[in-house]
Order: sequence, then structure tokens, then C-alpha cells
Amino acid sequence: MPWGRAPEEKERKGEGRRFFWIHVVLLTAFTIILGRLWVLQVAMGDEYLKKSETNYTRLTQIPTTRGLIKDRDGRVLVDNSVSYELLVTPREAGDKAGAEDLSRRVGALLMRDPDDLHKRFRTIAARSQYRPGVWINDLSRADLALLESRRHAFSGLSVQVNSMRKPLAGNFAPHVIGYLGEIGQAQLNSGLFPDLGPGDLIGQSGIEQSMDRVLQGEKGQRLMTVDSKGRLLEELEREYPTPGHNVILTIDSRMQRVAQALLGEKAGAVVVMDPRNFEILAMASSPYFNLDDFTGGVSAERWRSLLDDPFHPMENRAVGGQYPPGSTFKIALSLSALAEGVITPETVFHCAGALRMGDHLFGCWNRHGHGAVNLHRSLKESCDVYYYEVGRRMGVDRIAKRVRESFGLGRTLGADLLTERPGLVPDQAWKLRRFQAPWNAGETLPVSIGQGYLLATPLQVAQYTAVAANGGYLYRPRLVKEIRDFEGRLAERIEPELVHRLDINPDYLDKVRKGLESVVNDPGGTGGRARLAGVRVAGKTGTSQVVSLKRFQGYTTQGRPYKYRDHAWYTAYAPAENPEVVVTVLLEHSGGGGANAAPVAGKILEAWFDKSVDVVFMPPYQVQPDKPAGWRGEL
Amino acid sequence: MKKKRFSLDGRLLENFNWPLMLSMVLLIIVGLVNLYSVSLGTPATRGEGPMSEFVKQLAFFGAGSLLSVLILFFDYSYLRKLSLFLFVFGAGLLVLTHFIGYTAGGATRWLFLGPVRFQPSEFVKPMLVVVLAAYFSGKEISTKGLTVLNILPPLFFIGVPFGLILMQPDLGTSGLLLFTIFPLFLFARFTKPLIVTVASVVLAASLWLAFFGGFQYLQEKEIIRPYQIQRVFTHKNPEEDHNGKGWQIIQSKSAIGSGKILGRGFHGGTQQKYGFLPAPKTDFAFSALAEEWGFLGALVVLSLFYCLFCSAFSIIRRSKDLFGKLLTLGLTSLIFFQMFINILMVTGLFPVVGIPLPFVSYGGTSLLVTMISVSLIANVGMRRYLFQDDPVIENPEVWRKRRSLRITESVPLTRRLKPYDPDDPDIFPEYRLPHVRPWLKHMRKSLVSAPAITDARDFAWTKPLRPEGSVRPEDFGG
Repeated sequence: MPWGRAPEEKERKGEGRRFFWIHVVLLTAFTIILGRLWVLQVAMGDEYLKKSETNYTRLTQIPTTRGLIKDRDGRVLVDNSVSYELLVTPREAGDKAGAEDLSRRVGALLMRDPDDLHKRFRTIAARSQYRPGVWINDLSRADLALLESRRHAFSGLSVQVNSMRKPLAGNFAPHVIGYLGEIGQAQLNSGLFPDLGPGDLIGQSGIEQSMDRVLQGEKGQRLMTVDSKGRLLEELEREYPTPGHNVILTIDSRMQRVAQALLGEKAGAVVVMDPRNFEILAMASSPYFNLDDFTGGVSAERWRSLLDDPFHPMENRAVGGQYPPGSTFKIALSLSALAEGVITPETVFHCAGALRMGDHLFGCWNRHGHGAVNLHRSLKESCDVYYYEVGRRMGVDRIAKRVRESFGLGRTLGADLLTERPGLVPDQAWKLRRFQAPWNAGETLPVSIGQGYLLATPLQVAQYTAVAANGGYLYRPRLVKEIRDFEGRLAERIEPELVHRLDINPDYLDKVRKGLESVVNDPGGTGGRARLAGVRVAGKTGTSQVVSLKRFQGYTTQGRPYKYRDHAWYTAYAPAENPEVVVTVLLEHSGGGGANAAPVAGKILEAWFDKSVDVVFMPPYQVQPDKPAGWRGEL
Repeated sequence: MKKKRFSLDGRLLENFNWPLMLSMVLLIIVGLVNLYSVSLGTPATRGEGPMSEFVKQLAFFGAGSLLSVLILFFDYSYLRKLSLFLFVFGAGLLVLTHFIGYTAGGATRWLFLGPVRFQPSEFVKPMLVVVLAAYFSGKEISTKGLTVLNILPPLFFIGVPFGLILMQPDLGTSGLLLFTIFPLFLFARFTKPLIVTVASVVLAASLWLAFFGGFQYLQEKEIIRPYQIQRVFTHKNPEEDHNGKGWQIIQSKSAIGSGKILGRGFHGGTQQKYGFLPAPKTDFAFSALAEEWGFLGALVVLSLFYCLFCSAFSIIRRSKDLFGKLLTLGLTSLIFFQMFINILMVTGLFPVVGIPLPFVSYGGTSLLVTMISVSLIANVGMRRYLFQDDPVIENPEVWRKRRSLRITESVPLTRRLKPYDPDDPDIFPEYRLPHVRPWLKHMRKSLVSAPAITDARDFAWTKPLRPEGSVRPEDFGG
């Protein structure tokens, strides 16, 4: 044992060196550890503390209540209803046998199929053992009572309350009201909805969409502690949600019902508006969809069949359907021409049944001609040649400018619906831009009788009728009357918004109105079928051609293929002396306006003046067939 | 004089290393407090209360203390004779584990001893230390140094348990075995041919692994399992894998970091309370501790460990028995590497291998084995007098003090010791031992006191030294 025996210098020195190095290693090791701890705990401590805190806390959102939508009298059109869902947390339900037993007991209690329940349980458990999943999604109140009374007997169950949209009737003004849908990826990316996340519902059409910000309300928040398995343990903080505001529409639900009932199953649109402030009293578009299909999410096949329907039931034709306005455009053009000074009421043009322009003959609807025609007769008998001449004298650019400015054609005025479309008012610049070709003088003539390139929506037709009715004032058409908070306090009242005032000699305007009156009331007028007893109605018919095919020239409406039939227009206001309502009716592919659209408008006006007229039962909503059916015309 | 296997002597207590034992006990108490805090929030598992593990650990502490005290009475040199038997016993246990062991988590590591489950691989670690210490302290090696042939038996001694543990599979423990053995080799003297051989073998092996497809070969033969490799790679990039081992490291780092300087207080650690920290009682006990007691708490634990190691090293230094030295060194390095690897692991500097923190982590076998190791170390320290023939030159503490203070006057009634310094004969006549332990003054009275030294010249360095192994009767009081 050399170490134990003698002071051998060499060996002792060697050992000392080893001890030195051992201590160096030891100190290095402790320095590394301390340095590392210093980095983790002192230098980066705050960072890790934050990380750890976000680890064990979860910010969950408390859903808020969406505002209601009411009609102008305060009747609730869209309510919120509550649905109850039974949630189950697989881990808390016990093991496999326990889960089976639970399914059996719950099935027996709530009269559900235990096998179905167990199958669903397994899918929930496969997703997560700790996160609750929806087990039964249509719990009734009776089910709820049964569950509550036996609460102690079940573990792992909880009830979730869901707020759902509940429209008054699924077929009441679906295009105006709109529906909710899950927020899309594009909408999330747009940055317009900073508070919302995937899975949140937002309005996807109608007022629900355009007033979404108002209706939405603010979500509450809840800070919960959570363990590593994601189980919520306890609540730390809570911020209560603010319910959304209620929206009061200008819609008169009685008029809406009447309009929808009269429109029936025919494809078309009706706009009923107050000319004094441009409040839209009724806006119907047909065919329509059922709002009930969209509460709780629309099924894929339903959605597909709605999209594939050739009659486009999802489209709101009243603001989104663009049609040639036909002869109703003569109201706008006569007012424009008078305001421009192109004609006076006494100006007379000769109608020989056609107007020759270059080598082309532009015919009047009356082949035999109207003879000498002044403003009054031109409106009453809807003489085309008179307006050809007006249009020729005025020029397309002046027409376009006037008509855009004074009647809001070719642009949207913001009628509280995002589906509103501008229509089309052609001018030379537009032609050049669109077709890279100059404007032909001959193209002005069809435009001046509301044909050709000109397109307008039924709302825009109602707008110029209302301008004629109220003495030249163009307001922004409105669907929203006021906004109230959830306790009924007025948050905002939407006042009439003047867009433009037509600068026209009042006498000239009066002449136009007299002409429109005679359309309905005088013998020989085109719109006699809208005549009412006791109230003088003023109006204008329109029959807009879809195509100018010569080969259908001699055919009757019924004799033509559906898509080549004329659109029937009728626009009217009443009473003629002191107008309080404007009605515009468009019937797609229905033939002449005077014969088809005028009676509908007449009945709507009658309902306006006789408040006792109402539709008790809404027209039955028909499930849209997947294939085009014959009842709307054979295609 | 014949050495007594169980001997009680005044110097046993005099040489007893109190800091070593104290730091061990404190570490265990810290571990128990930590375990209590971690157990508080956890729900009862398998029908046992939340505190069942705390109680178990407490019981193991008690059992370990008893065992340690027993071991203190036992002369460690006897282990040298037992070493071969120990080796066969340990290897047999490992083989037995391989056949009738209890499997959990894909690894067969445990044996049942009645109701108690224990890991033979834990016992094998100190066993291997004993065997190698015995081998290296043999006469031939200790005098001539290690030759190439001498290195073959230790390779066998290491290889057998290493292979058996690797087969369990338990990469952590088998790797730790190698780490532990390493300092033992370094402490022996290498002859030049051996240095050359080892260098060339290491070079060849690394070349084979790196360039000649050795890695693939090991994988194909399933000597290295895929998850073991993955563990290493996971360590490199913990942020990428949020559900596996990487997640453990992230959570552990968050736990340690969130403790900051003062910690989050007793039972205040949210990482462990809400179950984000994996294995907060065993492998990641240090993370839980650092989360709740912060940098200061970790500093206390590390200081205790440092104190423990330093006392162990002082024992090595003062021990005159090569076997004792090597035994102490091996056991210390065993504890040191467990501690070092565990802390590096939980702080994200080392791959996640299942190595617990000694004394602090929950685990009966581990606690028992580490307590036995420490008591063996203390045992070596206590019995250094058996090999002492010159208390001064063999007591480094005395050397140090002499150099710094140059004490020429001694306290009365203390043992007068022979100064010995061939380099500095000036201080030689008057030197006395400044090794004062007042409480021993009274104890010595009850025992036989050392002979009074009247003349310092009796101990002159020119005096012939005693023959090997002889002990003067007057050293023991006649």
C-alpha cells in the first residue's frame, strides 16, 4: 500500500495534481449549472413565467345575445331561441362498461336509442377524453327537467345552452332579413371582424349581414385555470357580455305579407316605398328560400339545391335583379328632358308607327302610329316614337348624366342591403370602355324607351316613381328605421337623407304627374287594371323585351319559350294628389305590364288604403325541387 | 495487531465527517418537503392517498438511516474480500430481472421482493464501484501502474452489467455506469503503452461510427433503439415536438424559469400543480423545486451537494488506503454524475434520460442506495486512522494550516504532533497540531488518552519508519 506507507514525493505530487483537476471539474460543473439556472430563472424568468401562466390559464369567451329585428310597429321578426345540448366528458363517464351503462340509462330516461348514444359517445371519446362533446343536440325542456331531477345519478354530463336565431316565419321576407352562417376564411382574413374567430356566426345576407356590427353585441370573457389535460378547473375573472342592439326596420309586415302573397309563385319582385322619405315598406322577391333551413346551419344538399335552382331563389330581385326597365323609364326620361329643356309639355312629335334612323327603322309598339303626340299622350299611351325623338335630341350622355344624378340609376344609394346592385346606365365612355367601340347614334333610341343596354333594379324604378311623386326629391332608400339597445333605449334614429333634388319647373312636373294619372284613370291608358275605387292612382306600365328576336315578333307570350318572354313592369303611386305610397311590381317573363303587373300593383295599393286587408296565412313555402319544374314556366 | 471487523474506537467519532452526513440529511429533508408539496395537489391514484408516496419515501428514509448506521460499524476494507461475490450477486440479480422482472413502459427493470419493488440496476452501480476499486487497489497495479493487459478485467466487470442493463433497456443507467467508472480509471496511473492503445482504439471507434457506417450497424442490430436516438435528436430541437420528450423539456424549463429568484412559494408552482410538469416527483423533482423556491432554493440545494462532494474529497485526500480512496471516489462520482446529468436534463442541456436526482427525487431504491453510498464514504473517512502512521503529514488540513498560519504554539492538552517538512525545517521543532475539537476533549477522557509528548525530538524525521502494516500499541493507548 504505497499511499499508506511512505512519503514518496513523486506519488504524492501526482495525486495532488489529480485532486486539482477533480476540483476544477467539480467547479466547472457547478458553474455550468448555476449559469444555466441564472439564464433560466433570472435572465429569462419573466418570459418563462408568462409562458407558464399562459399554460395554465385559458381565456374563454362568453357568448352574447344577438339583437332582435323588428318591423316598423315593433313586432319581432327575428327572435332568439334557446336550444339545449347535452354534453358528455368521456373521462368522467367512467371506463368502457361505465360508458355503456351511462348510454343505456340516459337512453332509457330521455327515450333515445342507447346504441346510437353509445356510438356517438365513442366518436366523442375518440376525439378527446377530457373535452366535453355534444352528445344530444335537441334536448327539450322536459328532457332537461328529467335530467336535472336525476343529476346526482349521472357523472360526466353537462348541459350547454345555445342561442339560436328564430325567425317569426321562415318565409317572411327572407331576402330582407337574411340568415346567419359561420364566418368564412376570407372574412376572417379581411380583418373586418377582429373580435371573431373560426366557428363564430355572422350575418351572411340581408339585414343580418348589413347590420351585423350593430346586431352582434360584444362577447364576454372568462379567465379559467386549466390543467395539462385541458380540464377547466376554476374561474379567475369574468367580463360580462353586452347584448347586441335591436334593429327596427321600415318594413310594414302587413304590406310585406300582402306583397308576398300577391307575388305568389311567380318569379319577380315587389317594392313598396313611402315617397315622402323613401322608407321601404315592403320588399318581396320571388321565388324565395326558407329562413328555417338556415337556423343551426344549412345542410349541404339544401344549399346545393338552392344554388343549382335555375330561378335563383337566393337572389333578392328587388335590389339585386337588373332588368331593362322598359316603358317605366319614360317617367325618368320625360322628367330629365323637361329639366334639361329639351322639350316642354307642349312639344309635339309625330308618331308614324316607327322612326327611321339611318337605315334602321325603330318601331313604336303601335304599328299604326299615334299621330301627333304631346307629353301627356306620350305617357298615357306610352308612345315609343315620342321618346325616340326625345332621346335623339337629348343624346345619350345627357340622358345618362341626368338619370344618374336625379334618380340614382346606374349606382347604388345604399338601401341597407349589401346585395344591392347598381344596374347600368350606358353612355359613350362606357361603350368605349366596355366594347372598345364608339357609340352609335342609333343605340340611343332603345335606351330612351328603357331597353338596349339600360338596366335597372325594381328598387331604382321605385326611386324615380317616388321622385315624380314627391316633387323631385331623391332620398336614400332605407330599410332601417331606428336602432335601439337591448333595453329599448333609442340608440340611433335614421333620418331621411336627401341625395339630390331635381331642379324642374313645378308646372312641368305637374304635367308629368297628370300624364301618369291618366295612364290609370283615363280610357285608353295602359294601366287601367290598377284603378282603385275612391283613390286616384298614378302609374306607368312597362313591358321590357328580353331579346329583340324577329322570329318571336308575331307570337303571344304563352307561345314563346319562357326565357324569351317579356318582363312585366308596373310602377305606381297613390293617392295621385298627395302620394303616400309607391308600388313597383316586376314579374319576370310574364308578358305585358298592363295585363300582368298592373293588377298585382292594384291589389297592393288597395291593401294599403284598406287597413283591414291582410293575409292571415302566408303562402305555403314550397320545397324547391332539385330540377327545374314546370310551374314557373317551361324552360 | 489484527484488524477488527467491527471496531469501536474514539477516533471513529473523531474522524467522523459530520458535514457529509449533515448535507445528506438536509438534502433528503429538502426532497421530502418538495415531495410533500408536489403530492398536495395530486389526486389519489390507484386507491392510494395522495400522500402515500411521501409516506413511503419517509419510510425508506428511516430504513436507509438504520442501514447507514449499521454500515458505519462495519469495516469497509472487508468489502474488498467480498467484491467478487458482490459482482456475481449483482450480475445474477440483473439476469434474474431479465427473466422474471416486472415490465413497465417497455422496459424490464424491476424485481419484486415481497411487496417491495426495487431496481437491481441501482444496486449494481455501487457494486461495480466496489469491484473496480478492489481491482485497481491491487498491489501490482498500484505500484506499477496500469498496463494494457490490466485493463481487460475491468472491461469485463463493466461490460457484463452494462450489457445487461442496456438489454432492459435502460440507456440512462448504463450510460451513467460508464460515466461513474471514468474517474476511477483516471485516478490510476496509465503506462505509456496503454495510453497509446486507448487513444488509437478511441480514434478507430469514432472513425467507424462517423464514416464507416457503424451507426447504421448498431441500429440494424437493435443495440441502439430508435427512441433512444430520437431522444438525442429531440433534445436538439425541443420546440418542434410539442407532445413528446421535447414537450417535457419545454415544460420543465418553463417551470424552472417561472420560479425566478425567490420562487413561487410552497405549493405555489402552477406547472407541477396543474400537471404540466412531467414526473414532478421523480425525474423532474428539481424543476418542481426550482419553480417553488426559485434560484435561491436551487442555490441551497446545489450548495448542499457541493458541501457533500467537498467532504467526500477531503476524505479521499486524507485516506491512506488506496481501496478506500478509490471506493470513495467511485461512489462520489456516482452521486455527482447522477446529480449533474439530472440537472442538465431538466434544464434542457442534456437529453431526457431517466436518471433521478439523488436524495431529492422520489424513489425508494435510489434513496437507499445513495444513503448506503454516503455511509460507505463516511465509513472510509472514519477508518482512516487504521492506515495512519504519521498524523501530521497525512493530514492535509494540518499542512494547509501550517503553511498559512505558521502556528508555533499549540493549545495545551491537545495531542502534540510531529512536524515534518523536508522543505522548511525552520518550523520543525515547535510544531503542534492545531486540530482542535473541543467536544472530543471530554470524550477522550473516557477512552484511553494519547501519550503525552514531552519532547518533540522524539518524532524527528530522521527516526526510522515503521515496517508496513505495523501499528504501535501506544497509538491505541497501549
